[in-house]
Amino acid sequence: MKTSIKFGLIATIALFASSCNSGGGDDFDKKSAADTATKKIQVQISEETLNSLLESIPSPMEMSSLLKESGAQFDNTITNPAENADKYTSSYAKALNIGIYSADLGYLNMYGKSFATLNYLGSIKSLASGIQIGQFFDFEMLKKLATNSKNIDSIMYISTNNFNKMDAYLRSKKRAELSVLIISGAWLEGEFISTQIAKTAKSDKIEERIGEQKITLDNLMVILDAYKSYDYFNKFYAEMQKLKTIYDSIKIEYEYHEPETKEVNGQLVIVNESKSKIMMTKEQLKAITETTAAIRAAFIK
Amino acid sequence: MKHFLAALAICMCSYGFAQCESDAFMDKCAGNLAGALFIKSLVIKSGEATEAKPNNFSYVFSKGATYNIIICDQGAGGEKLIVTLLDRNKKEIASNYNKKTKKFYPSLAYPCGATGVYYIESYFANEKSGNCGVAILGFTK
Repeated sequence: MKTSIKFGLIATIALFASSCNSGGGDDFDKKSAADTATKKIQVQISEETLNSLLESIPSPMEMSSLLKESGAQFDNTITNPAENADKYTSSYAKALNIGIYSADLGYLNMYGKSFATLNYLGSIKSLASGIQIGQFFDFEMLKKLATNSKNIDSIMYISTNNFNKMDAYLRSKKRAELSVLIISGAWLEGEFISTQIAKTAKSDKIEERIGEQKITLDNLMVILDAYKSYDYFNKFYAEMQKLKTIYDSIKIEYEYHEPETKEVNGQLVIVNESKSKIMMTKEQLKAITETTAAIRAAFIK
Repeated sequence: MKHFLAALAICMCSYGFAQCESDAFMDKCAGNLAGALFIKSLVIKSGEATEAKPNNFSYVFSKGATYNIIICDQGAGGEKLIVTLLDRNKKEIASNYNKKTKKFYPSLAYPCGATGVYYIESYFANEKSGNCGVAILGFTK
């Protein structure tokens, strides 16, 4: 009797243990082991700080949402062509351009260009598979949903969720440098799209949001600084530093008010009159637009 | 035998956490975003996050957007997840738990007027429950 209980327990534990280990990470470990061993460099940032900074970077979807909301017209010439995916051969270039394509995907989705997203989904899937994270991208499901523009909300939810899973997986496998590049690429493309649209849209809201990127760029530069011992990062960091220099001259003013709360239909709604104001000139905006375009052009070719 | 039972207890607990991180649970919780766009999900496990040392998460909120935090706790025993929003100076803005009335709210809505880094702290009211939950961040324009 005692033995059968033991066997039962062992079987149960084994079952639970196997379910705990699901996630398909073995291939990644094997394929990237050599790469990691030769290229891993000591990074001068704690894992906790890195995770906190990475998580704080806003989704490029927010910028696309603002563009749509402001009435700006969709521009099909500004995204990175999906065919360019074949040009990216190193893990780092693949990761950076997964981020760039993710922002493009968000922009296309926001404007309901569901059919056009198919090529971008294919490119992302291909690049993600190239760095062994393709299993987190539900390409078939997204492709099915993309055939109907009514499914945009689902597409955006699933693709955002997929990107979050890729990011979490890379960080858990100590390949945070690839996460850093994906997030940097997404931010850079969001910045590029918004600055290009701002040239013709003449929207105060869009321009203000571009100025607010000072906060995010500050966080991003702390992360990139920690990785600049990697050759690829060193070049990227140097380029991004040019953008940061422009942003350093932009000021943000804050006005604080004590928040209040009220219950509305069972939900707690915060009423807060605190405000921020961006002090950015047209010349600064022009410099940001040109510098962003130059950096982006250097890394998508 | 004691060791086996202890191992089983640990695995049962992990299994519960795995359930919490499951797509089905996450999708169900995200369904409560009601028109807001999904940004991120944050899994909180009791024992790993306490009132003294809560789970921390930061995110840059942008002026003009309304941020929604949906709170889903999986407690069979009714254990509740407490989520607090703090501003860039780590000053409390609001919590889904009102200490005076002892009322829990399933969601928070914050129309943001000041762009900056905001902090979301979370922990379970009952630290020993072996429970887990999800806080989902979304936004609307």
